[in-house]
Amino acid sequence: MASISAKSPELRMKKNAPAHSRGINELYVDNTQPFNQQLERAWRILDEGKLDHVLVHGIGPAMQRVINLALQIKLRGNGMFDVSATTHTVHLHDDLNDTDTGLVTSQTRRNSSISIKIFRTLNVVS
Amino acid sequence: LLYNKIILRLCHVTDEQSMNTGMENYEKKEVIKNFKVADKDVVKCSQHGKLHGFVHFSKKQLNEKRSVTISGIGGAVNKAVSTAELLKKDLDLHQTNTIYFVTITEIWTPKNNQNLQNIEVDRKVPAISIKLDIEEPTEKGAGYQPPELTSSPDKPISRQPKFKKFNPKPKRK
Repeated sequence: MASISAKSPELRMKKNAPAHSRGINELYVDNTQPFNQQLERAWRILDEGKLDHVLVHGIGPAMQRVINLALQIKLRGNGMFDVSATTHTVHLHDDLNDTDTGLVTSQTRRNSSISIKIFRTLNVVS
Repeated sequence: LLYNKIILRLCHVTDEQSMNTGMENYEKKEVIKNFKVADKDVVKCSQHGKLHGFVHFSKKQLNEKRSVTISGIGGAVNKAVSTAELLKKDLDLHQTNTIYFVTITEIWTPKNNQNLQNIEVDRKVPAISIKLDIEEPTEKGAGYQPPELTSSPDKPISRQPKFKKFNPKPKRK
């Protein structure tokens, strides 16, 4: 964070990944990975894996991409799939290393996250 | 040059002369937003706006009408979700989320009066609309989210919420 480095340049921040559940039908979307690959992965879980639903998660700036992905799958399915979105707050814990004294402290940040459930509908459009 | 040709193919340009020229010969003339302008009661978040301003306006709406709708398009999705989360922190609110696409049409015209066709590009931008109610809604759709159970079960759910007065910082002279 810029505010921490401006006040005390000897502090080094290490961001820890948030704790998350790992399931076969859960997908975590990032802004660094190519969008088309993430879209194909979600489509394959629904189509080939024959699973009931897929949960797509995203934090912060990736929320826009998660919504895009879910709606693209809904368009591709032609009425076979529907979407349901929920929002949460995620607590992120960072380690602050003081390079001079060697002290390690931590700080907690908050960020918004979205989880979209893409599930099969009973109605099939002919 | 390949990137420019891909764009022209996506825009369904059939004129051969237009296909061989690049996008540097065109300029963006018009942007048509094909969606309804939001009502005054809806909190329309922008990408570069201040969060405390959106939160203050939505708290005012909650006080008057006991429900508020927050919407965000494109880059403002993050801000819309963050305002909803900040409001949910103090109160137990019932949330209904809807996600949808918004189509934006761009019209590109050729520069310098060349013999080229106009190009129309359709873009789909993701958007979210969050509705927060103090009372439980009767019809619960697919995007319904109940209020989270807090760690202290003795927390009272106030019928008439009392908010702190928002005092903006004095401007520097």
